[in-house]
Amino acid sequence: MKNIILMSLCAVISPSFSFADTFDDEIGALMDANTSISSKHIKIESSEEDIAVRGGDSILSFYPTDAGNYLGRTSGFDGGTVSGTGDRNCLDGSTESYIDHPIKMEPDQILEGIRIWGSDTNPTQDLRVILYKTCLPAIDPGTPTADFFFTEDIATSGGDFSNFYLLNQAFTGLNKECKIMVRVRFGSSSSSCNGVENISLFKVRAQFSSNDLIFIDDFGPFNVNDN
Amino acid sequence: MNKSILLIITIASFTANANQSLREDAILVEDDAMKIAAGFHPEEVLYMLPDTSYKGEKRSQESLAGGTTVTQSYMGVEIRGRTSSFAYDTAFGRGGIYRTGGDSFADLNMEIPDGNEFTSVRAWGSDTNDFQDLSFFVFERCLPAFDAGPIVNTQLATITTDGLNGDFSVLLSMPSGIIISTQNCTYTTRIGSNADDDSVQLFKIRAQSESVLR
Repeated sequence: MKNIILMSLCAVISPSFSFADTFDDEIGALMDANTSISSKHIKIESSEEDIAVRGGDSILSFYPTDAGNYLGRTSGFDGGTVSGTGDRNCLDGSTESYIDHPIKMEPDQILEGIRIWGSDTNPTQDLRVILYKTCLPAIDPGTPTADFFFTEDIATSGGDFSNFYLLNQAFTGLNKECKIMVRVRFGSSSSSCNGVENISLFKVRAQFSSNDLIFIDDFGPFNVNDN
Repeated sequence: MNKSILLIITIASFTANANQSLREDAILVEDDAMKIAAGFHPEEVLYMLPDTSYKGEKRSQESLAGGTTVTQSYMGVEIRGRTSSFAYDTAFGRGGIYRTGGDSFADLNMEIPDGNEFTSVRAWGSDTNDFQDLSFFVFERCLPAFDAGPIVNTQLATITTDGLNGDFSVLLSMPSGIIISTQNCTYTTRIGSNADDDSVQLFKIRAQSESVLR
């Protein structure tokens, strides 16, 4: 808990920060010099995708992925399905609670946001959604570096949900060096699943616009992730 | 009688085509040990190209002039075990993985644009193991466009890490003239290792191709 508070404090103080020598349970990654968190940049709206007001280029594209295509962060993930139609939950006894999948986007695109569908009737635990950019040198050897730029618990127990998160996020270092990944955690445990079979992920849909920075967001501010 | 002979010839012709690599100079691998080393069963159809044994930097395909270079990148967590017994863990939680047991092979399906020339695959990882290495194989796997038939595998490139340098970035250069045919074929990088700890890790694989001027 102290770590969470400290992380939140640092996120407010600085654009990015890092810890050493601990495997962070909130994002499922080793917190060393190669991991940073910059989620303070993110503004979150639960309203519909509001694209009509933006001037200039408004060509959108989408990258949807059914939850059934996600793979465990480790092979300890024991996934199930409630409907057999592409949904995924985490079965009791699973020793892994995180699953990962890439967002495939072009180098010049802006990640406008993500919409997440799922179901949660669990009164005490939720689905956590994490986005991170992970990079390696274009040619040289090296250790992956990652910036976790979005973390959100979908706090509900009302059954089916569909939430949109406006990210408006431009990136540097894509294509040859980096990938944008989605990570989802079932429940509050970072190491196992027990009692969270009533939390399901259905689909994640990434929404892109072309990188026309003059007109983006109706001349409003946008975020550039250059970590 | 003539009809029967014609039918036999026709069937034989179809059979030969169904088992034939797309690559004219491909050599059928009949050495079972070589097949097993690449993660195949002896009865599977595997071809090799004459120059797939060279390693790494024989020619740099990453600086070609002209055309459009297309890259597709995949983190280690995106590979799938050849069988479901493949077990893996992560050292950093940043997309990389390492094998912990089970099947020694895992495959990555690469989505490369149809009609492009497939030029290279680059792989990143870490190998500090003196006894176990990480092997990479790139396969073109084809079936007839419409007819039934066996999966015909052609090994396009291979390379093995040496465990001496820690973090590695290795290049698997494709032989020239590998034009992607998504109607007939899929393209796979297979990763093989018997290491079962984080001394051998896979971080990322990147496929690279060039648009072809017509």
